[in-house]
Amino acid sequence: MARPTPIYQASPPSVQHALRQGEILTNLIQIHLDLQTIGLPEPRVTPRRHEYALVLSQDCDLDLDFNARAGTISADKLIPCVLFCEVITAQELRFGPGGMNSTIWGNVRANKHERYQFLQKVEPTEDCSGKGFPELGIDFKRYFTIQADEVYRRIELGEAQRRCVLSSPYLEHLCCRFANYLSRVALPLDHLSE
Amino acid sequence: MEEAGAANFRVSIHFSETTSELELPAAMRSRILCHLLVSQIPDRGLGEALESLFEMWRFYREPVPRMIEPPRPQSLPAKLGATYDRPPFHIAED
Repeated sequence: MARPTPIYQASPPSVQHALRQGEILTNLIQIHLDLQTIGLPEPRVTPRRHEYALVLSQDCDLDLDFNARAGTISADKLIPCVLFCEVITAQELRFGPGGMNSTIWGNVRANKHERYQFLQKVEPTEDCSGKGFPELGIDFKRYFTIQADEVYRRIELGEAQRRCVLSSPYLEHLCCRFANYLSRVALPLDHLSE
Repeated sequence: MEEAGAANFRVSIHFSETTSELELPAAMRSRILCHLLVSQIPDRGLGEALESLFEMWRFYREPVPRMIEPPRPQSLPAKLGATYDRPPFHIAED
């Protein structure tokens, strides 16, 4: 079905442009410190590779940070870390550990489940690498940060790749849902229905 | 049993065991209960029941793919840098 607004647009391939909110990166390495080696003179680290990760930091913060790194504006606009959420294929989300039944999956696929975000597949024309990728899923519980300069360095080295960016209003839809999930209110009991 | 004009709908369950103490597998018990529940839904709810069942049928007919376990991560030695205090951050007036 043809859409009036494309959901994705290809990312700029290099580090000549700021990261964008809603941008999907691939092969992003996150370094984990081995807990057993904390306090030892020779710690050990484990690189964790994220096949897909989506940038959640505010777009204007990323833009100002980029300009601050270039030295064109004051350094107080630097942001220490970029906020990401882990992204997996929709198939992994559906069939992964624990699995989902048809009711939950139906809600997830329609983006009616507050905890998850479903993303349609990315066409080769919407992907900076021209390959495209399959339907994706996000669990809003699974977010992480990496230092901003480290992210740019990994892209510069070609280790991580910038692939595509969510377009408006799909970007805002995702960001609002994420913010809503983070600010959810736990009730001691749901309202009773008689 | 449901009857509408000349058409009628019956569900029958055949037990091959003759013993009085039947051990029905859980899946079979669930199937019987489903038939019982569907047969008791009034006509006005059948459209919704059909829609729900169709979605379930579509969901469960897909084979479960075999998930490939990622390789076990290997840790690497790291060099500890000097600990430093986070520099104060300045807030400029916008």
